[in-house]
Amino acid sequence: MSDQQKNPNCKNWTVFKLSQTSDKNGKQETAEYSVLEDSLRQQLAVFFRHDLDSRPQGESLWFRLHIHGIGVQVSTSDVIYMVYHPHSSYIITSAIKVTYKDYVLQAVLTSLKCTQLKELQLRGKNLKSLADMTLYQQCQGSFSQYRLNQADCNPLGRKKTIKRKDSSPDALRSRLTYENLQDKKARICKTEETFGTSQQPTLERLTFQLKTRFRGQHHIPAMVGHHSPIHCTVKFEGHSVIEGIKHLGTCGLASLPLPSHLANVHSLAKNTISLAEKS
Amino acid sequence: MAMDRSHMALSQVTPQVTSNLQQQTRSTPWLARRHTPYTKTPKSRRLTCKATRRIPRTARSRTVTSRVNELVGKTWRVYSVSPLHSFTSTRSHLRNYSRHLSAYLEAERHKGGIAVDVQSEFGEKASFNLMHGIALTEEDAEAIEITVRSRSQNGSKDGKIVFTGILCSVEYDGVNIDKENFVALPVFLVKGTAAVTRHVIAWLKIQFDCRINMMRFPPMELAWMVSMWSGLISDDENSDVAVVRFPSLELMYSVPEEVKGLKSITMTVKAGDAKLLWDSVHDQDSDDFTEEEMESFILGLEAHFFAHFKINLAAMTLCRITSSAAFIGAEGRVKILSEKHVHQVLRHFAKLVTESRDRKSVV
Repeated sequence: MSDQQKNPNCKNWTVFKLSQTSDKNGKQETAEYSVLEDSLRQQLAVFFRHDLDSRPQGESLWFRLHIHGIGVQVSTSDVIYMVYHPHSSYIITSAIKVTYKDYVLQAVLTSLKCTQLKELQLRGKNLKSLADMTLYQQCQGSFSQYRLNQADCNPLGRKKTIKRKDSSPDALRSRLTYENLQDKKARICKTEETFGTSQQPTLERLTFQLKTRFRGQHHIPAMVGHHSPIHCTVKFEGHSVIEGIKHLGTCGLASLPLPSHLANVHSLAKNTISLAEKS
Repeated sequence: MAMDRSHMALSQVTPQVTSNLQQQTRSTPWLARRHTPYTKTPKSRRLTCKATRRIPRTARSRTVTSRVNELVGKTWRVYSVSPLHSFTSTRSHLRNYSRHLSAYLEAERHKGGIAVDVQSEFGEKASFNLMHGIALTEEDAEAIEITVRSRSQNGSKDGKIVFTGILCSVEYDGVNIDKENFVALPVFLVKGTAAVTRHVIAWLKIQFDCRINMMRFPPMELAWMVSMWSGLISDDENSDVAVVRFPSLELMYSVPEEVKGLKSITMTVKAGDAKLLWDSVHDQDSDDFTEEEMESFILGLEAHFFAHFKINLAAMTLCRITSSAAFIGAEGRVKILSEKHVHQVLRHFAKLVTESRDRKSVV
C-alpha cells in the first residue's frame, strides 16, 4: 500500500458522496482508523473472503481491500483502494469490479453509519486534485489565495533587497514590441480574477452534454425557425484541463469573460456537466 | 530551354524527367508556389459516384463475389500512387509479382532490414490477387490485393498476415495517361507492420517506376469530407433509428501548444441532428456540394460552440473527423464505417490524388 500512497496517480479514482448520516448532530461519528477497519472487515466478511489493511496518510485514511477471487492468482481488478477523509462526506475509491461494487459500497455505507452513498460525476487520476475539489469546493479559483495563505504577506519576513534580473520570456525579447500590451494585461487580470494565481486542480477530461437550440443561425439561416434542441457532446482533454481553459483566455483563443459553467468548473466538483435550455 | 509540360504525355514523364523539367522551366530562383501560398480548393465536389447504378463491368463480373466488405471496419493508412508502368493483372503476371516480392523480402530479411522475430524467422510470403467489387466502371482498373504472410513453423500456407495492401481506383480522372503502358491505381490502402510496409512500397516503386506518397489530410480537406458525408443518412429513417444505426458527427480540434494543459477539444453531434443541419445547408436538387455549403456547415457548428463556450475553434487545427461514412485522421488514417459508402470514400481519395497531381503539374 505504501507504493500506492507514494504514487496515487497511476489509478483512476471515483468520488462518492455520503449523506443522511444517522447521527443526530449531522456529523459522522469519528472513529479510530483501527475501529473503522474492524467494522468494515466485519461488514465485508458477510459477502466474500478478503484481506483488509488500513493506514493513515496525512489527513486521510487509506484502505486496501483484496477480494479473494477464484484461483490462486491475484488479479489487479480484485484489489480496491479507498481513501476516506474523516469529518467529510466524501470517499474516493479506485475502480471496483461490477460484480463486487454493490457489496463493497453497502459495507462502506454500514461501517460509516450513513444511509445513502451517491456516485459523483467526478473521476480522474490525480487523487489530490479530486480531494481538493470536493473538500474545498467553496474556496477554489480566486478564493484559493485565502486557503493557501497567499493573501497576506508575512510581516516578520525579511524583504529581499537584492534585485534579480527579470528573466521572464517577455523581458528577454527586448526587440519585440507588443501592440496589444494593454489588451494582454487586461486578459491576464480578468483570468486571475476568475481562476486565481495558484495552480488549478488537475483533471484529465471535462465533458459537457448540450441539449440547446442551435446558435449558429447566422451561418445557416434555414435553422432560424427551428426550436428543438441539438444534442451535442463536447470533450476537453489534456493532462490538466482546467489549467488549459485558464490559458485559453490569456492566449487570446477565448473571449473573456468565460461563461460561468467554464469559469467556475473548479468549484463544481464534477467533470460531466449537462447544459440545457432554461424552461 | 523551357519546355511546356502540359503537352507531354504522361508516358514520357518519369521522376527523373520531371526534376529536369522543373529546373528548365524555372526562369527565376523562386518557386511559383511562393505567389500562391494557400492550396487551392475546388468550388464544389460531387457527392455521389457517377456510376451509382453499378454498371456491371463484364458478364463474368456478375458471378464473382464482391469483397468490398473487407475494407470496412479496419484502420488503413492511405497512400497516393502514380500510374504503374508495365503492370499487368493477368494471373501469370500476378504470380510472378508474388514470387519477386517474396524474394525481395527474403533478401531484405537476410540483410537485416526486417526485424527477426519468432514468426518471421521462417520468412515472408507475398501474394498478389485481384479484388473484385471495388472498381465501378469499365475505365477503372480492377483492384489488386497484396498480402504478405509470415511462414509458420510447420511450413503450412496459413501464416500470420503481416501486411495487407489494396491498390484501387474508383472513377479516377486519368486523362493524359498512356493506357498501353500505364495502369492507374491511385489509391493504396495499407495495413501492416512498419518494416514490411516500407519494403513493399520500395519494391513497388522500383518494379513499376511509380511514386508512392503517404496522403495527409489538411484541415480544409477534413472539413470538406465531414461536410459532404454528414448527410449520408437516408431520409426515410427517423432520428431515433439514425441514432442507433449511424455514428455521430465528430470534429476533433488539436489545441496550440502554447495552451499548456489542454490537448484537444472534441465536438460530437448526434447523427440525426447532423443530418438536419446538412439538409438546411445543402440544395437537395443538386448532386454537387459547394464550397459555400461547406463553409456554412462548418462555421455554423463553430458558432454554436462559440455561443456556449466563448472559445474560437477556428483558431485551432481540425485533426480528426468522424461521419457516417468514415473516420479520418489528418495523418492519413482512415476507417470506413459502412459498406454502402466504400466507393464514395475511395472515389474522393482518387479525386484528391488527381487534384494533388494537377497542383504539382502547375508548379
